[in-house]
Amino acid sequence: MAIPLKYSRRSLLVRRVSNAMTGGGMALVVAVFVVIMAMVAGLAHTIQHSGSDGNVIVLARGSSTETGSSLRLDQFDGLKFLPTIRRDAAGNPLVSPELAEQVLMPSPNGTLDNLAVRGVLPVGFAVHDQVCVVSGRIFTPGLSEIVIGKALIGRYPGCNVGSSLRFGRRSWQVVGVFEAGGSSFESEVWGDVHSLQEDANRGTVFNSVRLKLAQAADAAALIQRVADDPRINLQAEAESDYYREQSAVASQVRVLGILVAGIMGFGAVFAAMNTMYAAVSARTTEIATLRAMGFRPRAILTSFLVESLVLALAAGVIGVLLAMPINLFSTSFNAGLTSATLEFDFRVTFAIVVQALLFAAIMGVAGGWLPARRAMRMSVAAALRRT
Amino acid sequence: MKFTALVLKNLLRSKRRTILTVLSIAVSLFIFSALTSLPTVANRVLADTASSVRIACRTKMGQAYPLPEAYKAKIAETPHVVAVTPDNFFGGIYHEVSDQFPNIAVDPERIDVMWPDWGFSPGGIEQFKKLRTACLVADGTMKRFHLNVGQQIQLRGATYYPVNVSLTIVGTIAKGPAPSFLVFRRDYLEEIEGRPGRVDNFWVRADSSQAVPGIIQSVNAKFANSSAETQCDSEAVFIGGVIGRFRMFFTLARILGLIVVVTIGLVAANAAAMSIRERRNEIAVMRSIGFRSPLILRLLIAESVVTALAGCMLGCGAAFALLKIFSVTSDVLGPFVGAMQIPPPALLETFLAAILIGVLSSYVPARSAARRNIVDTLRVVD
Repeated sequence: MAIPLKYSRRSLLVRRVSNAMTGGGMALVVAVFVVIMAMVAGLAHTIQHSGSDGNVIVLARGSSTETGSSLRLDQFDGLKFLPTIRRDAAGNPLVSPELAEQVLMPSPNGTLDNLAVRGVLPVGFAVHDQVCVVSGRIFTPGLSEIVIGKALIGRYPGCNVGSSLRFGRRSWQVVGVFEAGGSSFESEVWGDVHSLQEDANRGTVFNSVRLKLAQAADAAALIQRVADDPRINLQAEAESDYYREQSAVASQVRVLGILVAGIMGFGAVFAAMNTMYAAVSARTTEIATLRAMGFRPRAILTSFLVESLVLALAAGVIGVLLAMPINLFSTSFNAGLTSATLEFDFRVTFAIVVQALLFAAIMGVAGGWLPARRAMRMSVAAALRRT
Repeated sequence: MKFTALVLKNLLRSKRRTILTVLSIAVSLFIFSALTSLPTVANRVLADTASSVRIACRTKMGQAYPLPEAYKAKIAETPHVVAVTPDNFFGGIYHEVSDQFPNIAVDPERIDVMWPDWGFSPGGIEQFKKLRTACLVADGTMKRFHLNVGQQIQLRGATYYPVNVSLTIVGTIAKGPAPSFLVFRRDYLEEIEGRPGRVDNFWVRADSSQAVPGIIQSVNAKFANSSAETQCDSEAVFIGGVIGRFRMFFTLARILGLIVVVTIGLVAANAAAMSIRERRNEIAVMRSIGFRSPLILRLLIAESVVTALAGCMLGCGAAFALLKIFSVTSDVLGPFVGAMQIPPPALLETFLAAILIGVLSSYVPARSAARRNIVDTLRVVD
């Protein structure tokens, strides 16, 4: 027969202060885990949501990123009239040649940030269908006008509709603000591709071309067709795949987080072991009495494991609750020399909560196992004789 | 000091608890020392590699905007300038995309004056100046791809330059800015590209560190209001800007470090409280035979500090050993880890954290035990 759960719970409450301290330690470990995972999830979400379904990105063959790819005008012309590309009402193909550059921008805290600037044609707003201008208007092609992503508002001096932003060789008039469903585009400045090419002396070079496929068109077939065409020497990829690869930086942060939380978890397991051993030795007589009453050794083992598990899960819940407010925060991220600054929100997802509780449960079982086994193996006669 | 034996004996009484507490503190201080090392290590990399007489001149506008080659002569005629070396970040790929390492094209003629600290292999510079397809390769890269001097290698310029270069290794670099690294000649790159005359950065060497601010000012002034303005910084500021990009990680590391200390504090306090609670009777007896409460308080705190310090030593030792292993395999882990060691300030910080944990965790239970009414304690029989 099993020992009632109530026994475990009440036992925990007897040694309230001691258990609270152990649980507190575990809760902090769980909170650290949740915060790091929320950061990873937020970063990955922001990058991955930059892709639209049914969009294909074309880069120079061998390039892994947009900024490290260059396409000539004749290559773009080779793509423009591929048959499976969707057309708008006027019959123009939804093909967007784009320039992706980074300019140095002095940030208010005194450092030089890499600000991402994207040169597009008006058709770009139709190809990236998650992008919509929420205040002001789209830039006029040929003029020094730009629209800025929502995340940039107020980040640099001049990031407001009606002001002007200085980068490159001139001053650019901010005429609108756009939203892009929380994706990385919201940390970008968009301007006329030809004005930007001219400003950077880049001739007619683009960095990437984005295509929107016709309904029911086969993306794989188009990708293969581009790969097979030796004249244009380009590579195509579904946008969703491209951005999944770009979010690799998030998995590096994830490895770091798991490492830190994992090692801290070991410390917490030792602490739990300490408390549970103390609990076992303080209740020696009690355990022996339970055994004498007829509870099987296995029931004792289960009961102590449950006790440790309940403590750990309670700590897990507290840890998750402690970490929840992080959802309200956003931060900017810059992974290296060649990547632009990215704004993103922390996101505590359901999966993270489940993982955190699982992590707590593992700590509980690992910390409770040895003490529980000791309780199970205790000799009844010796334990009762002791007092 | 005469009570050292007593403190140690008391610790050994419940060996399992002491060991578990020490392990728990060790694991956490291990993480703590690694986390506090991070910013310091980054700053040391900066101090080690940055020269006080080198200046980096880049465009004020951003990566996409190159500088004209003609600036070289204009910068060179600035007073106190010893050498000017233009560079282009080629970003070529050797074999696989994942094999990437920095490869940079530079003008050959002044390279030994500009970077005398790089540790060029003997004869490498002479060959580099003679052969147009020559390249110098960092020791780390040589080892990683099993290359030999004299070998030919091909770099695919898929990223920033749509051309391939085929290079002959003429020498090695022992102490470049990164463990894995390659330089080749810019005139060769220019020729393949059809001489566009584009430069990413100009490196400028001053004759003394006092002249650096003057040079920065006059070069920036020279190109002010031109179509390609420059942003010159001393090498320390330049690299500091790069490292500054990782500041979010540093802040994160500091916050995590703080949380780790609080966590171990809780764990250690718990262990101290448990051990003191069990000895209430004994403490009451000691006091009734004449031990004063301040002495007992000190003894109990000493116990906990000894535990924390043992944990500290174990944790730092583990961190030290692990970083030693890392630095052997550092090539795959990027430029930072190569110089990774626990720097003395971080070690000191960990040590102080351990003492703090020891004192704070035992103070409350020790004080209450030392002040407890002797009669009440002895009356309770358990």
